[in-house]
Amino acid sequence: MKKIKQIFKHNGFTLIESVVTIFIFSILISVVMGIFVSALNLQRRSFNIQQIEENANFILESMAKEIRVGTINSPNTNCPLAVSSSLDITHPVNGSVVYSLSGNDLLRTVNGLQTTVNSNTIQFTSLKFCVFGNINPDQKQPRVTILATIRSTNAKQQVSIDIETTISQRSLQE
Amino acid sequence: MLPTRKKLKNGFSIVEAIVAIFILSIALSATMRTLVQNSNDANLVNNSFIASGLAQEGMEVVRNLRDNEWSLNAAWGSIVLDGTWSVQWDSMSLETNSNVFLKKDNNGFYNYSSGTDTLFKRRIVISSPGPGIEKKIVTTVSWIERGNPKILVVEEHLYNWR
Repeated sequence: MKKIKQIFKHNGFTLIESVVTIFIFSILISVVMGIFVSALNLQRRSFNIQQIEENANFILESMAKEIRVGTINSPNTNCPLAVSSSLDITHPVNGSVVYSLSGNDLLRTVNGLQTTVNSNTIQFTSLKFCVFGNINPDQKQPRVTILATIRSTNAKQQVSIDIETTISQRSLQE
Repeated sequence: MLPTRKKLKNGFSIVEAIVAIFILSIALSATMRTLVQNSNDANLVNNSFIASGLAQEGMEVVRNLRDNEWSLNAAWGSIVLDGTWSVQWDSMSLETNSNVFLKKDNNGFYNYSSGTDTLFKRRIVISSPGPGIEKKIVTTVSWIERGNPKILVVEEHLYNWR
């Protein structure tokens, strides 16, 4: 009986107790919120990288395949000083294929028909082509260097990557 | 007796609170770990993708040089020599590999002469498994990510056959 009485005596909080509780609670909440916000930012960044990777992988792979099997029509460029903003090739099946930039989108023009290759989740901030060894005869096999800067459309935690690759034409040319 | 006990149990004891917080923090740290892992993986994917472009470039330049041997009516293996080499986008021959980082110049070209160091190193190893007919090309792109070495190895065989 004595114990029960003691407990009843402590029924309720004093002002100090509530102030301290609120103080501790607010510190805890602000720490948790900070963690949550940084987690959200990490997640956004990862998602942006994923978008870029998916698009760029598809685009570069399909472009590389077409360049390999086709013949390059674009003239030689004087790289790295002067680059070409578009690439003109003749594909054995698809015919004339031109890659160029329209604003921040990559255009693929097949026999005059234009299609945008990338999705709207990414943007091309730059696309450069370097053609090398494409004078017949120069005793050099033509090759194309592709330089692309791709960024996520989402401006929050925006990611931008620079890619470079070189493709050598398969069809032999003196 | 039961009603009395219930009244006594009113509220949490410090031990209960500590246990609860402990369990909660384990759950939270697991979640955080997953998130950080996710972010690291995204970075790895990003760098691997750049590395794959560079590895492809290495391969294609060597193949281009092999094709040049034919254009020049040069002997098989006179440009594509066995050894450990470096190439860049405009190479007309294999260059000595001094195990340095690829640089990126103002125009964005990965090269060895101008610009700032990138994360990546590229090495091309050429050998002749079938002398006179076959060259084995191994391109290795390596980089350090958060203190961990990462590596991308690509192998190709070129033949004296057009």
